[in-house]
Amino acid sequence: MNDYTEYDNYSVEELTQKRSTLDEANSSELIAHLDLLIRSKQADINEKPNLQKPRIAKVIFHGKTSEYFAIWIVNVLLSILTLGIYSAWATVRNNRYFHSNTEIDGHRFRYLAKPMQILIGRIIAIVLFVAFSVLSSLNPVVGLVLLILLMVAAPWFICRSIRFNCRMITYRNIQFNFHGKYLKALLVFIVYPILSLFTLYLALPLAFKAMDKFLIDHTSYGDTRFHADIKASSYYKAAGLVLLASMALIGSFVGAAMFFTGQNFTGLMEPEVVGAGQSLLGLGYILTLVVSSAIYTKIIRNHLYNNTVLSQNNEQKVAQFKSQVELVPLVWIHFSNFFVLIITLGLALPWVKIRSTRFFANATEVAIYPAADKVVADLTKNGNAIGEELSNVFDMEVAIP
Amino acid sequence: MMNTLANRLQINGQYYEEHSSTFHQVTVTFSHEDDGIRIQSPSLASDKLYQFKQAKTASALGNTPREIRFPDGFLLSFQATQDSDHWMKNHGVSSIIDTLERNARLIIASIIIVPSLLALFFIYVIPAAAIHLAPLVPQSVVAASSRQTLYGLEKTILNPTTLTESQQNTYITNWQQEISSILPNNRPYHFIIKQSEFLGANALALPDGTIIITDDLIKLLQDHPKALTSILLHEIGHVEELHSMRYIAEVIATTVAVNYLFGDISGLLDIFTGSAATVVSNSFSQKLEWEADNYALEQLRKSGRSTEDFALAMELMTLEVDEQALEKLFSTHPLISERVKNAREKRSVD
Repeated sequence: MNDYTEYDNYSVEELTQKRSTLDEANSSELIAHLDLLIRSKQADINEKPNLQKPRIAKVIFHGKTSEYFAIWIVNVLLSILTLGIYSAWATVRNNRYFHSNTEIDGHRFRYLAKPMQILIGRIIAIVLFVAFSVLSSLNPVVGLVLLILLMVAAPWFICRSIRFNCRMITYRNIQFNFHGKYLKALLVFIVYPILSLFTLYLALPLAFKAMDKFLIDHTSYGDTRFHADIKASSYYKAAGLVLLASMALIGSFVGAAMFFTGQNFTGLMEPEVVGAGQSLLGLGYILTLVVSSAIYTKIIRNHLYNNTVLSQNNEQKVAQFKSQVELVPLVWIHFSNFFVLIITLGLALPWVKIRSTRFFANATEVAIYPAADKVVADLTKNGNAIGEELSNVFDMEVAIP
Repeated sequence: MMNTLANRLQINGQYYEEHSSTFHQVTVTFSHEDDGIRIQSPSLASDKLYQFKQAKTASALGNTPREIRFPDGFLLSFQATQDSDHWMKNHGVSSIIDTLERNARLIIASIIIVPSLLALFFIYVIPAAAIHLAPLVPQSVVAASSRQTLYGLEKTILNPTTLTESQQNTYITNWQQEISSILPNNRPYHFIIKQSEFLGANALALPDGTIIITDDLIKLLQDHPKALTSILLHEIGHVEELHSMRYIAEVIATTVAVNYLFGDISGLLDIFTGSAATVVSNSFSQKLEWEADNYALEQLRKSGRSTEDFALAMELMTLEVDEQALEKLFSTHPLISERVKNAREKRSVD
């Protein structure tokens, strides 16, 4: 008889993990022991759910560049050959690839959208975009009227599109959903940003905060809701640092360009000198964009994740999130991505997407509480069959290019 | 205990209940006799049995787990093996697209075919489509569009001219006589003189045949009226070959194409798609400038004038243009030195 006491301290998940690696033929005795342990531990958990501490799960991304490159290039080829029609199928396969390769706590995400839903949304988007572009280039006044109409309709499109994207994602066979409504979206996406103009943009960080809070607080997973407890101070910190860094970078690159070209931009210059000065300024422009967006992402993403909770009725915690994005690696990722894309004329896009996704996955952790095993689907909203049919007809991704 | 026969196809997987996050770590047995799937787990009260033909499977995709959804809403997810793929194929589930995505020859060929097709598309297909679409725009729309554009320009970059009414009339009557002697069969063009700090010494054409000439250009070419006429011919080239409409059609088509090919990318990479679209539309713009140049040169030669008029105008404009404006020319216009060279070459053909 073997000694299996080492497994006594394993959690249910570790035990099931271990059990799944065993070979039925060779380890039937150990399997029987593990099954017994799993059942008794599960019974324990069921009796006193609040005693369990959360388990910390890393977000693991399994995607591989070579594999994704093959999928991507074949899908681009088919999209071109079908004059863009296949691009809806390609989008589904791309999204499936990234969701199915993302694992938290031993479970993968799934992406459920049907290409037809995407195709219809896409045709509507193209028709709207072409009509808008043609009309506004032919007649600026009509263009202005359309722009105002678009602004009024945008919150509706945004809510529809986010709702669609959420409902197409499942984890452990439970759908995500989005409950944002038109009026609140109009306020958050249109009214607040316009009002911030009158404060000389001083209130713009508050508008960004309201947007993020709107998006997170209206997202649900089954019968549980996300809740973001975020602070305006982080947004002001991000805005301040972005401003400082941009000014410092722009200043030093303009200075460097003047110094190296030995000119003050007034007299006539040799084309080579102009070229060198322009490339230096171009580099400075890209670096400034990369650094400021990285500063914003680092501060805001970390702040959002670290202060978001998934809970049932705002009481029982289901999951808590942690993000530890660091600035220098993020700047490097974005900066190198940009140049590799230019050098390879876009062919390195799969490499760029895989390494960026892996970077953000590695920086993210989820604390999972025992209540996560008891999430049930939210059936109240979709109880009515006609309602479900109607919402399916209007469920589409309308992404204005 | 479980029965483990050597010739039986068994796989470990995760089995998810419907409408709940409850899952079971299971052993899946694929039958060799029929299309039965048996699911077993210590956490399940009893074994579950399904017929594969009643289930729905998502098409294979790379190395991602296979998913089978059963009629009762339960979901099975497992890492596919060669044997399980083989079993599913024998039971009628295979994916053409997955086969293509694994075809090494097709993948390598795509690396060459995709960029070539894109180049073909942007260099030939879009411009050709634009040439055929541009004449379909109704004249009333063109006129309305030009009026609106002029109104917009007057509100932004165009100021009233510093020339007196009679000076303006002298210039405009002169140009009209010049142009009708070169192009006797053409419709009349509507010339306007404006002052513009933004444009400097420049001229621009609106699609309805309105041609705007700046004070600075008149001043620059004061002693060379024939050079100014050649610039007018260049602008008339834009009008006659419907460049505005073609440019709009080309830019819209490019934006849509670039967005859907390199779509699904967010945030900072938008700069990349943005610059890709700009590079393509600038190349359209440069092509249209060449066409307008060559239109002007052809009309000069036909009417027995010298293409040197245009070369001179270009050279004088280089002197005037300061470095900042030169940057702008770099993007949408060809290099002036090349345009001068082209004008002189067209003369030698004569």
